[in-house]
Amino acid sequence: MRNKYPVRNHISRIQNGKLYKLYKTTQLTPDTIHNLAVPVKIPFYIKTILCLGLNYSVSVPPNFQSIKHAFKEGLRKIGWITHFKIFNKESSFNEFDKLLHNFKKFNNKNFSNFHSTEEGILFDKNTVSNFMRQVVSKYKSQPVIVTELINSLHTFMEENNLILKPADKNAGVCIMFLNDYENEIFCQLHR
Amino acid sequence: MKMRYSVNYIDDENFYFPSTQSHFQYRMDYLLDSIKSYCNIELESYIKRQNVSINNTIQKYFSKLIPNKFDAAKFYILPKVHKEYHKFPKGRPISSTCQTATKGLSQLLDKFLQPLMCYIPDLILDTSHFLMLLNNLRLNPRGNYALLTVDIESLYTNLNVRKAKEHCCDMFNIYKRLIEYPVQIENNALMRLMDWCLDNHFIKYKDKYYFQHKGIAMGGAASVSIANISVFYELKSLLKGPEVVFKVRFIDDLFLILDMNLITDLKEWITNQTNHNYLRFTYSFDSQSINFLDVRVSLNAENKIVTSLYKKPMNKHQYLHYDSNHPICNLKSIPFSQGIRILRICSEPETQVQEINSMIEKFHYRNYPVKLLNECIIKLQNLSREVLLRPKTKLVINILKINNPEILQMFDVSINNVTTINLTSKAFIVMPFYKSIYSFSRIIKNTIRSNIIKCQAEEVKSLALEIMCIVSYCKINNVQRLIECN
Repeated sequence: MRNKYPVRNHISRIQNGKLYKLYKTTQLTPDTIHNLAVPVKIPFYIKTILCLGLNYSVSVPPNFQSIKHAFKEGLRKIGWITHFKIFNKESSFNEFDKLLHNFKKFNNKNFSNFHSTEEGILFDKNTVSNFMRQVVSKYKSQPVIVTELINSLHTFMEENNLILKPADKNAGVCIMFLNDYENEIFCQLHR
Repeated sequence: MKMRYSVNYIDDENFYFPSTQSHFQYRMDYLLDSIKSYCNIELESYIKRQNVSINNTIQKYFSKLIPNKFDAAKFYILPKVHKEYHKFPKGRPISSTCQTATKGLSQLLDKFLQPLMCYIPDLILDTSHFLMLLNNLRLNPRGNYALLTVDIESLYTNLNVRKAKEHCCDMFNIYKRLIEYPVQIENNALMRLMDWCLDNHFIKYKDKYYFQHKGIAMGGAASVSIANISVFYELKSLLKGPEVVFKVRFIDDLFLILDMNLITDLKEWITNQTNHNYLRFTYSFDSQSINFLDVRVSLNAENKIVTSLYKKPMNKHQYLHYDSNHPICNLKSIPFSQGIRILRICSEPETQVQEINSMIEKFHYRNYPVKLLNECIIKLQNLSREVLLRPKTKLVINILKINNPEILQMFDVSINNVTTINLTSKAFIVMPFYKSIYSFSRIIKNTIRSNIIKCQAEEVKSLALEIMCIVSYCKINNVQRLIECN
């Protein structure tokens, strides 16, 4: 027989306790979940996640690669600013230039235009690795909502052919059949 | 060789009609060619005519604001669960223009149109602006008044694009002398920019393309400015007269105070005053109290205006949960900023206290610690409404300077014309945030500082130490994103 709630296997006792505490607090607020797919019963753990709101940011293990990349980008900025200061090339830019700059950045997302100033003068080669060592040493985690919970939520939605969307006017979260949602979309587009 | 592409516009009542990827591609190629040829041909003649260098011309921006990769706007709906429905609620259509070809051009257009809004007399920018104007209003204690709100139905999709373009160009022509734009633009270039932005709006849902042929794009960067200017021209002759004591507009919502001594039949007056060729209106009125934006405006026995917070019945107050993986400064600031909003909107001290208590209770349910909420209450007690209503943003100050200079005098606000952004002494380090990394921000700042201190060259060291490192965090992994990305 298929396990109806596979997620239970992945939650430790402590996490389960924390989840229950979260559920208790969310029960005090008005119901924010609109079940538009009426025959489908929403399991308790999905209700708990959704009661937290769609903006709730889930604690997940850090992506050290992206932290490293962001730190390098920060060093690059400081390097360039110092370079401009040294050679008196500082110039403030207007809103139009800012727009142009943002687009340039958007078009070249992975540009790694390092200036010699930052490598030669400011930062030694071990800066990034030292930083990453510190970050790793300070990491300690026991996430309340584990990734498996989110995965199981996704599986539940997929199995029942459901879709999740925020309601209009910030009135909560809607769970509905994908077919109904698409019918409404096509109705609007072919109106 | 490019093929000519034609689409039959069958039903003129529709806002969108089905299209194909090849039609989309054809129109985008045409758009890019048109930008390219315009830049090449017009730029040369413009430089000759104006005797300027390439850096001073607007044309240099046009081709640079096209993203490398683009697609049609993404279409989705938000179910209107707060309204009555039989089987499935109607949806609010949203088109997300994030990855579209015209996004940059729309933003550029908005930079030219936004300053023009200062010259629209009845326009309000936000609730604070509305409250400032209400605070400045004195009504006759013995007068007979009615409060009226008018809403324009489906404004964006019902606007006439050709007229909207004309209105924007007219307004730009009249007021461009009074505005100091960092870059100059000619009338024909502005018109061309509007053609590019408004005539090429495609939307996409599940690989199916649709073309919007009526109205302006919802979600476009310049749409608010275009709508504001167009409505100003369209309503110029409507809802005016000696009966109108006070009138403000927020995009498609109007708020009026009417002198009832000059009106015999209010419904008839409204019907006559909202007679327009293609815009349709809905309205509501009351002699004592009415809701506008997030404010409940009431008149007391002496016709003094009293304001309080208006909460829509469907509002679930789903504030960010305290256990969310957000920086602590963000979590701390939410109750405080909500408190400030209450202090600003509620004019009576009793209502302020009542609303703040109700707000604190809601934050308590979202797991906010009692200590944090108590600190927030103490901080709020030290603030006064007068200080909070003081105009702060540049756009509001500029609008008040033109339309209500007496308010600026009352608050003794000086106008500082800062047109440039100085970023040379600040370095913004954008990091993904993880609550599980203890003192993340401190590690970043300390590592950078210790490395700068190690630097041998004294001059470089002192200059680098002057740079203020600001660590900001980008949004990661919220529930919605995780579900969509899974």
